[in-house]
Amino acid sequence: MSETAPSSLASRALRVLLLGFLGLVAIFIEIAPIGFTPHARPSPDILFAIVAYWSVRRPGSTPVMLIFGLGLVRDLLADVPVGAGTLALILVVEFLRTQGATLVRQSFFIEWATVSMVAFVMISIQFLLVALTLAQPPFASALLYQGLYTAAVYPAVALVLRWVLRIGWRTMGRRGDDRRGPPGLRIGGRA
Amino acid sequence: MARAANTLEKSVARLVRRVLLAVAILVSLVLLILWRADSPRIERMRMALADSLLPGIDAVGQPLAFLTALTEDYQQFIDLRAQNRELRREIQRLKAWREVARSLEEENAQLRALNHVRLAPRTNFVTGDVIADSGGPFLQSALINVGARDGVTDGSAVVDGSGLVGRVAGVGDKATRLLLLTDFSSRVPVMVRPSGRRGILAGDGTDAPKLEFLESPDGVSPGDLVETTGDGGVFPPGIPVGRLVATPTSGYRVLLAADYSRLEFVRVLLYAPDTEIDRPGGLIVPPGSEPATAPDPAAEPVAEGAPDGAPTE
Repeated sequence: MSETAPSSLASRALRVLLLGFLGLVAIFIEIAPIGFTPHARPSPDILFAIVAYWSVRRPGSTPVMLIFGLGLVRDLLADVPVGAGTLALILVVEFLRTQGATLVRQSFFIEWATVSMVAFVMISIQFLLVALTLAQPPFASALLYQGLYTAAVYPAVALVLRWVLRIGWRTMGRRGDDRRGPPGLRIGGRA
Repeated sequence: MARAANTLEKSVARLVRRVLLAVAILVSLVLLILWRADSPRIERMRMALADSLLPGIDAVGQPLAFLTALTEDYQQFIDLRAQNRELRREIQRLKAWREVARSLEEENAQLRALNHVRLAPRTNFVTGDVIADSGGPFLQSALINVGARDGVTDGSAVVDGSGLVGRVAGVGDKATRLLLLTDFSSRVPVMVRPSGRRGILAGDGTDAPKLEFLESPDGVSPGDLVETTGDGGVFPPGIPVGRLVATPTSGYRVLLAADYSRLEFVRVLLYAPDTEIDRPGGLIVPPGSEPATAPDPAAEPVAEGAPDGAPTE
């Protein structure tokens, strides 16, 4: 079936809508009023975790403008320096989109480690952008905790997306059957 | 043929994606510059978005906040007996203070009546529910579910039951953004009691903001009460802010009176100062010489240095 077949387009549009909805829910969870004191730990970046999982498995369903929109909504609602969070998210998602073909052959732990490293890179980009504008950057310890929590939340996000929403690796027939995912997070159904 | 068309389609799709990526990066950079320049457009955009997404934020945030509070309550339940004893002791102490306060209030009212003291205008308030916090490490702020339709204006003071929490930094129709005193960009003019020394409370991301630009350390000691001055006409004077503590490394800091660990409902003070002195005083001339100094619209302009619209009577 051609990629532009109506059913394929419809299912892709549906996936894009689903990603947008999940992204908004992730932002709402991040900003839930559960800690105001300065020593309260920052929330994990659940939006990044969802988009990262999605972009390596469904690179065709992660449009730039959707990622831009979600990043901007998060920047505005969560008081991240507007533009810095969005730009960092767009850049790392563009990187992760190209990593699907490599990660599909690896174990989940390799994927987890890669995504965790990318999360720290994203936070570093945000920090650098804020520092470049001569605005007051946050404490490095707070950013470190945010990175660690984001890394910690990724398996939970992967579990929900894989087993509840059935977003797994696709059969990549053209590349051979060995490119089905590793045990435990193997293909399953299509989104 | 079909294969060639497919390849062309893919390369067009790739090109479109690259163009969109460049646009997204460019717009992000422009937004970052606007944010840094404190553009009001960004704040308007933020509040319009908060207004439109308020139901969703509330629907997801409130159950999570409830669950968190439940967990905290359970932890406190474990030492309930000790807390109960402590609270009973405190009630006994406060009962004694209540009697003292009543007699002082009566005495105060009588003295004010005798002296014809004009009281400051009564400050109204609107109570809101905290529906979101910034969640991230960058800014310390919160969203509350009252806005311009409830009379909230930009800059208003926000208090909880114990003291000042912060100020309004953005107003939407149905939502308001509150900048906490602990945020890096928070600056509030305060006064130390009983010495009356003035200073600026500057947030620095810690639990106890710094007291900067203190007029003089004379008569100021740890434990003193810190309250708002009302300078600038934004905050009402006399709102308790906290208690002064001295640190060996960073001078005086203020332990905040507001309970940030249980910020659920807050009050936004709708305060309007009744008198504003916004120009220097003019020369008061005797009543007889009024025509000589009164400006004549047909004549030459007012003499140099005379304040615009200065009183002439």
